[in-house]
Amino acid sequence: MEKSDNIDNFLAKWASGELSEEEINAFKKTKDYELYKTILQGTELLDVPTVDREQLFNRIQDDVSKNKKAIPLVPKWAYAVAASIALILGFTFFFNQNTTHQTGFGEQLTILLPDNSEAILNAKSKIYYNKGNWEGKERMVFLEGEAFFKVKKGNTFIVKSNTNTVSVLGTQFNINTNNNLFEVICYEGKVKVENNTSSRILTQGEAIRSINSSFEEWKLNDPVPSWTTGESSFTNSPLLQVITTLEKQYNITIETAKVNINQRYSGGFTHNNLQNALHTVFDAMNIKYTFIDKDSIELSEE
Amino acid sequence: MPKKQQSVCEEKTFKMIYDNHSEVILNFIYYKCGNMAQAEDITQEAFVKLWRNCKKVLFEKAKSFLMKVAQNAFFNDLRHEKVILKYNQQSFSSIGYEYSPEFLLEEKEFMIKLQRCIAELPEKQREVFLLSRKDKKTYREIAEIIGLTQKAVERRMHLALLELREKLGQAI
Repeated sequence: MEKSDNIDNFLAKWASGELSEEEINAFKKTKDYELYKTILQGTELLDVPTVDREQLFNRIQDDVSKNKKAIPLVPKWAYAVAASIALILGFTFFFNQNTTHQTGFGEQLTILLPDNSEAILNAKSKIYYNKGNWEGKERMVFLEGEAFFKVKKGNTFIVKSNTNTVSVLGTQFNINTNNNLFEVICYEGKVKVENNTSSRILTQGEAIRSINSSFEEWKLNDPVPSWTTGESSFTNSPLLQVITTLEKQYNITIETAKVNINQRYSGGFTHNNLQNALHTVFDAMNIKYTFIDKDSIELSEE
Repeated sequence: MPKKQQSVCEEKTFKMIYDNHSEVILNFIYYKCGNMAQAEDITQEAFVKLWRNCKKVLFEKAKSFLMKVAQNAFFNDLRHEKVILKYNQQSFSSIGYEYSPEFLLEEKEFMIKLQRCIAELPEKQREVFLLSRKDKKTYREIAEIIGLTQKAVERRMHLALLELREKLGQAI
């Protein structure tokens, strides 16, 4: 057994990133290092089954009120009413009742939420929330498009999109929900990402993307999303995502019928010069772009 | 602290405690018994008990109360299964798309072995290992959940990794 194994919490310190640089470098030289690393990486890919926790909470309430009729937590009919309202009216109901903020093409907007958390909306995005629910209860916002959140510490903060939920306590993260894509990047603290089938917890510098119900993960070092500082950037992103972002930024339409929109792009484009932006993205991908008129472009293979 | 005495009997506070702690209790029990339905039963039992005792349990103590009740309930329950975490084959790591088919096959085999080795870990090591790696809890938080010292938690984590290396080293 190697020397490093003798200290009885050495591997624990390594796994949590508490070793000094010196210790790590020495550890990297041992023959088992790669295997230990693969074990941790492999464990990341394993899923813990998820539970419908709202349903479980209802069971707890049922149980409580059955045995002690005096204090039901919330009358049962309230749930029936809430459920039917939600069913009948769906999201439009909430939308009408809520505080809404949205941005147009090429715009960005910084919003101060009721608890002093901050949300920065990217171009052509929308956020809405019901202020009434925030006091002392959970903080929930609905998002269409892309936003960067800086959340103040407090109760659980939840961001919902069509099919995915992100919940956090206090942290900074970016969410992009444009067309069928769901992407979360964690810049600080911990972020939990859930869809119908599974959940993942991200820590600082980790990112996840869900395409067609499968997850892709990667890591990055940026302190804030680049789009808040005048540039959009991508890591192995589907081309369609890049094109949608271009359209929203510059208020143009891009005709994609002649190219493969599933190929991946890594790189960025600037927000203040359309010619430069098109040049950076499409030259790199060997795609030809032609202006049909002032604000529509057609793509073709070179 | 804006509100000095939060009462657990208050519906809002109770729901908040549920939202903040139910998941870690569920997972913690699941890592012990390998059966989510059973973990749900035990979690339900713990919260019902908390509600019944809401006048006696201080808000700050609610979490450790829940943990204790859940662990006791678990000890009284003898249904135990293997803890096999699901391996979602469609989700690859960041660099996955560059890998060759041979690598992916190897990865799949490795993952199956890893699942089995985690299932075969002693329960005390497994719960620490998974709370740390899957729930991303710090060793201090885990110590609080299990009711041990942080040092003991770190030792279990160390042993878990040693054990996994040993088993997987043989398998490869």
